[in-house]
Amino acid sequence: MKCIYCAHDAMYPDRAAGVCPNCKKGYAFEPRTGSAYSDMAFKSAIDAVSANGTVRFLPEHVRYELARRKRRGRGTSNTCFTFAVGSVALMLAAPLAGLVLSAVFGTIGLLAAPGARLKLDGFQADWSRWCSVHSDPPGLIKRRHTTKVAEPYRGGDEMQQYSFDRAVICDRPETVDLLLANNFHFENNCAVLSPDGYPPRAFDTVKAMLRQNPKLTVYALHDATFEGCRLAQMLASSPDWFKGRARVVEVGIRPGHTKRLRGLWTAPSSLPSEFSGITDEERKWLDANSAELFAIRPEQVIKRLFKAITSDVDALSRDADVWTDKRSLAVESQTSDGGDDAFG
Amino acid sequence: MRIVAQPGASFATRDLRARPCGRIGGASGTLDPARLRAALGAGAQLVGDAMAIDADACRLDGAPVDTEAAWRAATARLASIEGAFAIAWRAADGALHLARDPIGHRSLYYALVDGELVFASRLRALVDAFDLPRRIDARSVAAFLSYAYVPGRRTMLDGVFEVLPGETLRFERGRGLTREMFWDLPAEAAHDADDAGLIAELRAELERTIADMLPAGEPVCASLSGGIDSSLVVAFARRLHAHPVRTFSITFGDAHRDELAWSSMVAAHCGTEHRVVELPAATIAAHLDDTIARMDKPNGDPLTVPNALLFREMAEHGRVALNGEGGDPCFGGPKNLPMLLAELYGDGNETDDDPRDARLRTYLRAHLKCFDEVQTMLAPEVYRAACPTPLERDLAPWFEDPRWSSFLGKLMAVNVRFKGGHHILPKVDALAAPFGVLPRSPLFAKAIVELAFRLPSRLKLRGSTEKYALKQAVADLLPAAILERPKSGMLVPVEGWFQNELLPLARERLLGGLARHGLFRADVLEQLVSGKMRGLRPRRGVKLWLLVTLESHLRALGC
Repeated sequence: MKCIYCAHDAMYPDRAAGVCPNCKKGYAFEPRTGSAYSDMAFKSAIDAVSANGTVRFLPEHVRYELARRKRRGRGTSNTCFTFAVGSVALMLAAPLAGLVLSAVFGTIGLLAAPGARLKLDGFQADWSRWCSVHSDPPGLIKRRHTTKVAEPYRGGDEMQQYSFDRAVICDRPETVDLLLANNFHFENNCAVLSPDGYPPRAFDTVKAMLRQNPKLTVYALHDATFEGCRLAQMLASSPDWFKGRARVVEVGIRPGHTKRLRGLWTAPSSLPSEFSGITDEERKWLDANSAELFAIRPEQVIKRLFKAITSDVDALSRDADVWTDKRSLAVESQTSDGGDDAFG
Repeated sequence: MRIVAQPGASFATRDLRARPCGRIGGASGTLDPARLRAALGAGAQLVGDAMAIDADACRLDGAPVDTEAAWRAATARLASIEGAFAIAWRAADGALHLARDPIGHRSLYYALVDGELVFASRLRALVDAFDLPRRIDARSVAAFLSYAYVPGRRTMLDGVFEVLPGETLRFERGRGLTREMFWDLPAEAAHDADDAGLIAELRAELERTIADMLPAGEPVCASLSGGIDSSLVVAFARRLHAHPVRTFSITFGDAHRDELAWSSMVAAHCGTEHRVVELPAATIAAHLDDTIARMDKPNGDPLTVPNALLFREMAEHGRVALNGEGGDPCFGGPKNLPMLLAELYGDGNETDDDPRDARLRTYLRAHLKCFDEVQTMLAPEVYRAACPTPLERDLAPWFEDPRWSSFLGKLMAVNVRFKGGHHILPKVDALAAPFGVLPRSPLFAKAIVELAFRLPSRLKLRGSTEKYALKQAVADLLPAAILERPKSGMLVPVEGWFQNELLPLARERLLGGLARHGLFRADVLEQLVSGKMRGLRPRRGVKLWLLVTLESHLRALGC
């Protein structure tokens, strides 16, 4: 097993004490004694979600990355199944060879049967173990707002004179944190809120600033849950939000986007009091499943969101009160948010 | 008319005498005048019994200040002079005085050598003429990486300083050097004034200021981007000037996004003689060193070379060139909204430090350069020397000054001083000079700046409408589309350049040139050149331009 610090590859007897025999740094995991991964595999997942330390992330992103890698491994099960079927066919022509192949691939396929749901038990304990041995990884978002009550912003009187033309409204505070920690608001001139009053320091001031702007465009970013899929409709129809005041654009994950996330689905969310904004077909899927934005790497979420907010109206379709970005958030985007230097 | 700019003669060979006056210099003690004159170039003036004056379009109480007698009389009332100036004179008691205009249209540099004051309006001339040591100031390197220029008194050379805008220096043997601000940024006015009255006052002041800047009896040139600032200057010039108004816009070729549709609309609306100057990457590369060598402090703005080439074209058509610089910092330009967002949300750093520090960091981050990467880019020992205190702490006095109570007022103050006096105005002055062109920036005129400080914040940013008062003041002069268009900025295709035509230049300058100074980590330079960068905003082109510029600047200084 390789050490993440010095890359020394140590055999089990040499690392049994839990430290690298070369650099004496500790290991967080030991696959030989039951750990699900090696330290290098865990680090590789962190590197992937942080784009090698250039993008801020939450622990949940690492959890999904590990699951995604596990799912990719399970991809062999699909292949195995295909080979097993092929082997049966071969058996008809060459009975012995076909029997052997069928048995091998069929067994592997059954052992790693594909599932739609995210399965990664014990992640929280593994994460705590990693952080205690290697300390918090660079780029980890620490959600301070959940641990203490923030004072409202004090310069509200002056701020009420101003407004912003764009806002992203997220269905959960963690997504707000993701965008703020990556300076999405600052780089894109865009307010970010979640309907439950997050972030508390800025919420009232920013919401009031937005509501006075007749040119406002609001982007609804959410999980594929009942509440998430209702978000855009709620923002467009609620007098407390932006009814008749803004163009609301749907940019979140809806059931129709979740095919690519198969294997990372989660249990259904609780039923809402009403279903406006959700189609019957979507409801069927949501009755049995949900999918979280965490399933998509932060870099992709932010790049896609950037593309959505800078797209012209041709990229949108309209259905009653809500506009929809025709491109799925679950599709990878190569778009960078600018690069050329703007002056003048 | 469209002109494709070709590589031409070095800017250093241009005849500076087309300017009504050259650069200035001198010393409190003995000096070699021939050497200083040669270093300063044609038209140089050295302080002696006579004053040394580098000035343009100066007025006092409405009357021109254009003779030494007038300047002698005006030294007691420097704060009341409108116009661009850097002057030096000896008082009756023998003390040597230096002064720079309030906003920073002209520049002056100085050093203390063996207990004597030496100065010049060109830093390179000062260093050459007095054999000053060329020690690189590490903190200035860090500042340059963050701002793309070096604000304040520091220069890239340790021990060589800039006179601040609005400052006088007095040097007397035995008593040394004393500094005094003869003019400073005004406090924010009480915000109970009548909005309509202020907008009318702004309109009148714009008209008066631009009229004063028009050259009598000859055509005037103007740069025209199609944004509100340059457009309003052109519109006023066209109405007020009896001679042709010749406007110039730039493009980097049809493959690149530009603002020509907007600038052409304004030119047609106003009836100017309009020219589009196309700037191929090869021409940019050919004049990079030329351009950087003209500037006294490094400037990492990718528009420097395009600016210089535009002045080269303008020189064929006029002696005075107007521009719209100043509209953004003075009237609520586009950088305010992201700063407001960061003010409300913090800067994404969850540490529990003072939120005022987050504000300072955000201000630096808003420059979209390398503030967050200074530590990883600089060699460890250079970083330690550069940042014994965090770079952002230098900004604290600006945000804590009680003269400006509103957040927008604080931003305006620091922007006028930093971006105006240390970045934009020195840049246009330095780049116009080789071509004998006199750049004039009416929106940075002292009277306009003073009036801007009297405008309440609600007249700068109203809702999400930027430069509200400015737009209202000129609403009848420009097409509605210009007033309502969002700010786009001039997009300089640095990303594309450094993937193609300018990549060999970057490789040579970073790995061969900059590396030898030992300022940067070698792996960082190699990574930048290789292009293997990940993340949301690699901004490789911007960073490469910044470092190529720095290398060229150090080369020009002889470091």
